[in-house]
This record gives sequence, structure tokens and C-alpha cells, in this order.
Amino acid sequence: MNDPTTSNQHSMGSDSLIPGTIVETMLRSQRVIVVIGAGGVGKTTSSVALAIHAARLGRKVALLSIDPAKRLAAALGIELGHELRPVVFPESAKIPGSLAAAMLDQKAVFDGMVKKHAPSPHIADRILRDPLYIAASTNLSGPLEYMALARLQELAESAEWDLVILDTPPDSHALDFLARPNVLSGFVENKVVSRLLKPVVLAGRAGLGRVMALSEKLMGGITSVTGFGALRSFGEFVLLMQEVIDGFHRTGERVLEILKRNSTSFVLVAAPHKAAARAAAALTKELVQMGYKLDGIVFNRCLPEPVIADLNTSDPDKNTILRTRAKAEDAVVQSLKTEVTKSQGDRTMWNIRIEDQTADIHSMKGILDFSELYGRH
Amino acid sequence: MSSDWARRLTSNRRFILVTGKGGIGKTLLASSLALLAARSGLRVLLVEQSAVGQIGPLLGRDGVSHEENWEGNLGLANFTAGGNFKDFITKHLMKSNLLEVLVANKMVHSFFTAIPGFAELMLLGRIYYAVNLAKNPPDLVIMDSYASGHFLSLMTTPDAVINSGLAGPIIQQTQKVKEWLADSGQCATIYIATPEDLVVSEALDFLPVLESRSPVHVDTILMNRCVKHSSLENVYSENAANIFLQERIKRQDKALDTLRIGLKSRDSVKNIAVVCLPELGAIEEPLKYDTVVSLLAEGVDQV
Repeated sequence: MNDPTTSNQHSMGSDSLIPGTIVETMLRSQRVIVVIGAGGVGKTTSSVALAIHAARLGRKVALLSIDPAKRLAAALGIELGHELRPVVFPESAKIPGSLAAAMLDQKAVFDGMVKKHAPSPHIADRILRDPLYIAASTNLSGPLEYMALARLQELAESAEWDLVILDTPPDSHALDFLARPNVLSGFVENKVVSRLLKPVVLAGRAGLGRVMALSEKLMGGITSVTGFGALRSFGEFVLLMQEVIDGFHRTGERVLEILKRNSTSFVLVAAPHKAAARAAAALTKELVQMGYKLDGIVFNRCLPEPVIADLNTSDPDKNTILRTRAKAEDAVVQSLKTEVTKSQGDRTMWNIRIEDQTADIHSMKGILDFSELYGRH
Repeated sequence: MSSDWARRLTSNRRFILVTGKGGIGKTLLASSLALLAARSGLRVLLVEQSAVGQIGPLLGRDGVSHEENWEGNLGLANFTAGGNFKDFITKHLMKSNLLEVLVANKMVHSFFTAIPGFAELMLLGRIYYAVNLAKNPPDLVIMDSYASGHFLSLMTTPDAVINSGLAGPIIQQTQKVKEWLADSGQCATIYIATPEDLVVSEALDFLPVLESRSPVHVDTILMNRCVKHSSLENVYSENAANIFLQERIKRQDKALDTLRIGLKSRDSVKNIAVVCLPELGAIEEPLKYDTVVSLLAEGVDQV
């Protein structure tokens, strides 16, 4: 494979004539960048660094993070919250663009959406006090990711921002929400609400016998697992949520359209060890199956070049730990590149290696320095 | 067993949960403990719940699925949400006549996937079944579990369900599972971390929350990838590789201090043991028993 990192002239978008690295070309030309990756690979830190570097290039950047590291938010001097907060850079950093970041908090985001989509303040209030809603809004992972997409749509369609960067959730189901923006919307499609649950809620008035008559075997089966009370309170919950769900659903379709545009890029963040590469390869395969393509891979926490050079020229019996690591890293980087190319055919894709940092990058100065690495590739 | 801390951890326990920040060696250490315990003669079931199967490739075994895959006295399984639901009905509730009606129906499936916490509940139920209700249960079940945040949601699910105002068999089962998880004689949680500033400060934030909001108790913190001071060859040389290692050791020692001081200053976590495990550079697959021994046997109790 022709390694595109060696070339800075790779073209992407209309701004490719401005000199700069391949990552800078992406940061200048795109409207949306979605950062994906398995947990623990430094995805959030990479997203922040990409966002800062884009601001350094003069762009007005909005950053949405789903999995906020408190320390990182503190380093940026912002509070975790649904609303975008401007990041104030020190004068000496000479950053001509701007960055605002929202570190999404599950419950706050969910509450906001309920208030927005509920048909009346009274119903919104009932939903917010529902015990199942409270459990769902603090415990469910799906809705948060979905909310982030809703925010993404809002920001991508606003002239206020040149570039929106989305830092996706870390677990291995990270892409579920791209395929099916909302678990609850499956309810709408499958008519679960009208066919299964309405009778149950009505049965509060008409009695249990009536429900059983409607779809005896099925209802009997479900209630023997969950208890009838569970089914009824869930039924009520979903009926209450119906309008909200419909609202989510409409947003979802527009988000998918934005994600498919040429001005949207997907970037994979990976760590150079086998387990992480396996997860990254699976993630890419899933992404491609959904009809998206990767534009580039960031390999985080790689041994620094001078260390590798030093290992190559020094006594092969010394520094065995670093030697083992260097060899394994190389093999993993090569095999992941091959896997990804296999998944998405001959599409040109860049990859960059970011060095393992010995300094703490979770301070304003640290993250500013770290972000400059993204201008070197 | 080749080291005291691992013997203390696995003897008499029936269930060990492994959690920690993502990407720092949970799967490796859960698998290593399983391999070590199996070699010592225990029948051990190692379970993951992962969309991307990691324990199969790591231990050199094909076809790890929802069904337990036994070779000698080490069994492997990947517990999936769909499989857990099916098992809950057929094994736990012993109502196999409901299977077709419930599991095969698309609407019902969509109903259950949308109930808050249902998948988590089924997973806990499946584990409880494997340890306590199965016909010929293993001596020890080790679960390579979710990363911290997701693990906390998993472990707060029992309370969320019990307090949700629901009723029926689900609530009774949940109560039972919760009491079992809280029994530190039978169940222990291991938290994996690395000696880095950020990882340690996350651990110090997370552990007291887990202790107060969930039934489980963390027994031991395994500090993975600690560089031994003795591995600093040519300490006085100015080459890049040695400078890199020296920097790393400096940060590591600082992080370990922060961890020890932090644990001592918080009542609910001050009795958690800390064990340092050595950095090996990289791990070859399939994982060899010798590697496991050099990884686990060098652990040093810090308490």
C-alpha cells in the first residue's frame, strides 16, 4: 500500500491548494468530523486536539464530546454541560479561530429533549417524574448518543460554525446509533406501541382479561417474565414518550443525511496493540457496512521516532521491553492498515502516528502543545 | 498458585468481576487470572460480554460464543444480550414453552431491548445462573466486564429495577442477585489501572462512587504495566530510549504515590489492596502460561 502520510499533497475538498499537511487539509475543508474508536485509545484527547488545531487554522469550531474526561474539561476551563461553552485560549497561543465545546451529560441532555419534544409542559413534567424515565435517562446509553446526533444536526446546519467535531462514545456498540439512531424508534417502526402496549394501558380501566383476549399467548408470555405491573408502567411510559420519540425520529433521518455528505469525514483513533486494533478493525467494518467510509487513522501512543532510532542503533540485548513494544507496534499498525483497506477497498486513506507523551497533556499548555502534533502530519 | 495475592483473590471466591478504564489490560488480566486458577486445578469459566470477541484470539481458541466452550478445566463464553434473554426464560425461569412466543417475536424483541436496564439485568441473571443454579457449576467464574462508567450502570441496575415500582418474578430475582453480588466472601471486584496521572485520578473519583452506589466491593487494584526500576539499563547514558524510560518511571512513581495517599484518605476504599504488575512491552497471542506467570507472579502487595 502506498503510504499517504509521506505525501502532503493529497487532495481533499476545494481548499487543497492551500499548503498544509493532510490532516490540516481535512480540518480546513470539512464541515463535520466524526471521531470513532474503541475505549481507552485517547479518542477524546484526539478530538480536542483536532478541534484546537482547526481553530489554529482560523476556523470556528464546535466540539461535542459524549464521554467527557473531567480533567480534560477542567484543562479547557469549561464546565460539563449541554450548552456549548467558549474555550478561552491564552493570548500567547495566537489562535485566530475559535472553539466552543459541549461535554454532554446524559440526564441534562435527555431532559432538554423531552422538554423540547413533549406536546405540552404538563406532559413533559409527567415524563420527567416517571420512575422508568428517571432510570432510563441516567442509565441508558443509547439516548445520549442519539442526543449528540441531534445536537450535531443543529450545529452543522447553523452558519455560526465552520466545523463540528463529534467525539463518539467509547464502547464497542459505538456505531449502533449510526445505524439506528434510537432504540426507541424501533418502537415506532414495529408498531409496538399501538399493537402491544395500548391494550395494556387501557386494561387499567378494562381489566386484565380483556388484554389477554387481545393477544393471549404473547401477553401472557411477557407478563409472566416482567409481571403485569411492569408491562403497564412501561406501556404508560412509552405512550407518554410517543411524541418525544416521533420528534427524535424525524431528527434522526436528517442527521443520517448530513453524515453521508462529502463534507463529513470519519476519523478512526487506534492504539498500537493487538486488542485495540482488533476492536478498531471491527468498528471500521461495521462503519463500511453502514455505507460510510473512513478518511484517516490516528495511531495514538506510538513510541517516539527518536526512541525507535535509538533502539535500532544500540545493543540489541538492552532495553528489551521497549524493543518488544516497538516490534509489536509496527506489526499492529501494518495489520490494521491492511484490514481497513480490505474493508473499504482502494479508497485513499491517510494515517498518522502520534507519539506517546511523557508530559501531562491534561492542562491548557499540555493540550495546546499536544494539538500542534496534528499540524506535523 | 504462584503468588500470594492471586491465591488470596481466587480461593473460596465463586465470582470475580474485572473492570477498569478502557484499553488498559482488563481482558489480558482477567484471562491471565483464569489461566492461572485453571492450572492450579479449579474449574474456571471466563466470560466476556463484547461485540468484538477478545478472549478467543487472546487464548488461541476459535468459536467462543454464547455457549460455554470447555477445554480441560477452562471454559470460555461470550454472553450476548439475546442469548442472556433466551437463557433467562429457558434456564432461570424454566419456561421453555415461552421461548418461541417471546424470543422469536420481533415486536417482543423490540419491546425488551427498549426497557431501561433490561439487557443489564439479563446479564446479571445469566451470571447468577452460571454460578448458583447450573447443574455442574464451575468452581470460579471470572467476568471480563465493562469499562468503569458502563460497569457502574450495570451494577446500579438492580437498585434501579427494585426501586422502579415494578413487580413480578423480575423483582424477586433481582433482589436475590443483588444480595449475592454484595457478599464479598463469594464475589470480588478487581479494578485494573495503569500508573498514569489521569488513570489514577479517575480511579480515585470512581471507586468511592462504585462503593456507595452499587452492591459490589472492590478487593484489589491491579496496576498494570509498571516499569521496574531495574530495567533502566545504562541509566547514565543520554540516549532517547533511556530518557523515555526514566520519564516514564518518574511519572509512574508519582502516580503510585497519589493512588496510595488517595485511597488512605477515603474511608470506603482504604482497605483496597494495590498490586503492581510488570510492563512486558507487548503480549504475544496466544497467551502462554509462562507469560501469565511472569505477569502475575511478580505482583507485589503494596499494603
